[in-house]
Amino acid sequence: MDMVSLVREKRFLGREFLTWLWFQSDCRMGVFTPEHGQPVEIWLDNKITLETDDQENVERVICHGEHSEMLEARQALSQGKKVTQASFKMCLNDAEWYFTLDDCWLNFRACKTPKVMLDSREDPDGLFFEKVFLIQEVVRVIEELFSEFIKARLSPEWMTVHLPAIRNWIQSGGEAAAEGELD
Amino acid sequence: MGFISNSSSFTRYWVKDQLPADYRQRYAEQIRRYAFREIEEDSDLERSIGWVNIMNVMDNEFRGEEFFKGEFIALSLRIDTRRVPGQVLKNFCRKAEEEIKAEQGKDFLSKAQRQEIRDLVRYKLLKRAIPNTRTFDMVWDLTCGKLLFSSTTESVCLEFLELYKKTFDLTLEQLFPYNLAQSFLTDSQKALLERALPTSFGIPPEEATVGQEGGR
Repeated sequence: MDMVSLVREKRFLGREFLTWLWFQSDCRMGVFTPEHGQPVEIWLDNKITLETDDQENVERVICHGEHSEMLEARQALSQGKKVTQASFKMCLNDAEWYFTLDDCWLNFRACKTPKVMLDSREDPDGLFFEKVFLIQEVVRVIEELFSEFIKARLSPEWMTVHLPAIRNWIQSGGEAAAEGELD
Repeated sequence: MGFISNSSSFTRYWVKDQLPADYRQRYAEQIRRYAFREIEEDSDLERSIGWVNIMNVMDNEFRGEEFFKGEFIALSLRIDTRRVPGQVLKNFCRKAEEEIKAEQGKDFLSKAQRQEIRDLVRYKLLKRAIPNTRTFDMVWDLTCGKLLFSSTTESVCLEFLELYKKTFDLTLEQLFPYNLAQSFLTDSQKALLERALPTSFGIPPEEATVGQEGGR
């Protein structure tokens, strides 16, 4: 199978990871403890995009919001739409990163690292190493969390523990959104 | 936007091949060979592409081998493009054609003449056009073979891959969820991954269990 077909066929892994990350963040109050690292906070940050699976007639829902609950987005999930992009905030050692992940490649978009105070003229190499370190940090954390996700996804507990919990969470959000509409 | 700026978007790659033993000397030569070249004023080139110093877009000489930074090779891909807008070219061609017709006392010009006028006008206008410069950073960690490139635009990534291949003669593989997953799974887990089917989050549990194996 060629690369493009493989990417398309396995795209669901990225979509499920973004959903899992959002769900886990909501359940763990944002705190993750990666296998080889220190605790880190990951929060859904303001924006999430969901799409239908239909290749011919894509319906897209873009939700903006201050809170990670994103009830409308969870309602869209309950209707079968898939997360295709999500913006996150990461907090580590009192510093903050902001970035958006896509489902297809897990590319980082609009990635903002903590501010670096070094001057590009006085210490160009210092600035370079600091920026690269900060970018590598967020990549490392996301890859560790993706590793945690994929191991859970392939375990027997995915169907018996993880998936029911995610569905309950989605359903509770969808119902809350519907109640909000009725109010 | 590059890595040194406040915000960047990037694609991740793996370098699939081994570094040659003499990589420092070889790559230094190759990077200079494929360094960015300014578009000459008299040239009719519309674009130029090549490597520049990641900390200084105007430096394409690399006198101090600035691309070696600790365990990294860091470069910027610079793409300069100059174009004559289609409508501007059309207007200037029409004006030139009218002048020639008046000079030669003709009502019509042949197709070949019109093409000649068009080429000349395009060349003159191109010389006046200021190139649009774009740069995209590459940071290659030689210790783990991972490489970050500061664009997610497919056409730019393809240009980068082409220049990277010419310069370093190595193969890059773009990371995506499936091959990233493979990198930290055991053989038996990889077999499960191969067979994994999409999960439906929206279907009620009792219905979802039918035909959904969740990768098992």
